[in-house]
Amino acid sequence: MSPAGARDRKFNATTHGAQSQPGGEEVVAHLSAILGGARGVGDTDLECPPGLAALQLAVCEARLDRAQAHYLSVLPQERDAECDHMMEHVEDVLYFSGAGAELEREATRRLRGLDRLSHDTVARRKRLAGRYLREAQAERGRALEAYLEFL
Amino acid sequence: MALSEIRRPTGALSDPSRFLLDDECAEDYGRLRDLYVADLAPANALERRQVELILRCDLDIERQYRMIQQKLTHEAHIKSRPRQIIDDFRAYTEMDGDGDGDDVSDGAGYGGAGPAGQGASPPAPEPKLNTPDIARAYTINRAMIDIHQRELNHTHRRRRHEIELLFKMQDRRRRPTVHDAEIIEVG
Repeated sequence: MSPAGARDRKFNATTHGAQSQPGGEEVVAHLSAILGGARGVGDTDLECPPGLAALQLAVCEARLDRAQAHYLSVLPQERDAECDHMMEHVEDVLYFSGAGAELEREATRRLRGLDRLSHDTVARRKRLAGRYLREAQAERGRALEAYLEFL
Repeated sequence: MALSEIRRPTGALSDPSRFLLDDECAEDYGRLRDLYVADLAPANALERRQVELILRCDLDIERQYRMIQQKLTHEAHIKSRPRQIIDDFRAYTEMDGDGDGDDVSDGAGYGGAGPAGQGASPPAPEPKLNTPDIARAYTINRAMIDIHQRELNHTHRRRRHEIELLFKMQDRRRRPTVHDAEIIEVG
């Protein structure tokens, strides 16, 4: 697999990780809090409607935590490392090829394009992370309201 | 999920560092959480979680304002990266003497900032900002500022919703303690 492919796969994993089914431990931690401790979990029948609603809420809480952590990991990003790396290549070519108005114009054009791409890539990531967070929040709100009906 | 599969929770619930940026302090978060708990008086884990989500909304609102401010002020004097590279290259070719720029055997300009960083004087203090600087910074960073602005509006809405949910839970909890109204016969 090419380095670019490996990077894409890593990014996909991060993206999907923010939306994937949360781990059992996280869900159990939330379920325990919802039902009032580990004892409450043991005493509750998770197959009856209130138990299922509590379980659904716990899953949504864990998803919300994940989405929020992902959102915060994306928020400080300003530039895309891959685009910056390509800009360094253009810079290298500029230094190796020497001065010349034509070359400088071409380099400027490409550098500006890459700079725009770098900003656009990060902006897209931020928008996506924001969307994941909003979806997780809405889902959690619905699950909470459903659970409250049984209290 | 079978009950036998449920293990004891590992306390992964409230690790605040997961929800903070590097420049935000977990201790401050803990202190704020205590204040919110004292103020909103949650009675159970569900309400405590709701208080924590309200706190996260407030922190996010502050965070978005901070990021917008950063874009408008601190980055007003920073050159764009393409501009920086071209300026460094011009400085390099001018220092090169003949201006043809083909003498790269010493590697001075290779792959980096060129000679600009060599023997550089200490950084000058940031000049005072004026309106054109801020307007310029806004033009350059408009796309990013729009994203933060949108997130800010969304977080304000979310905060109102979380508060509404908390009050709903508290009302529901208090309902059994409220006596039914008595009908008093008049006359």
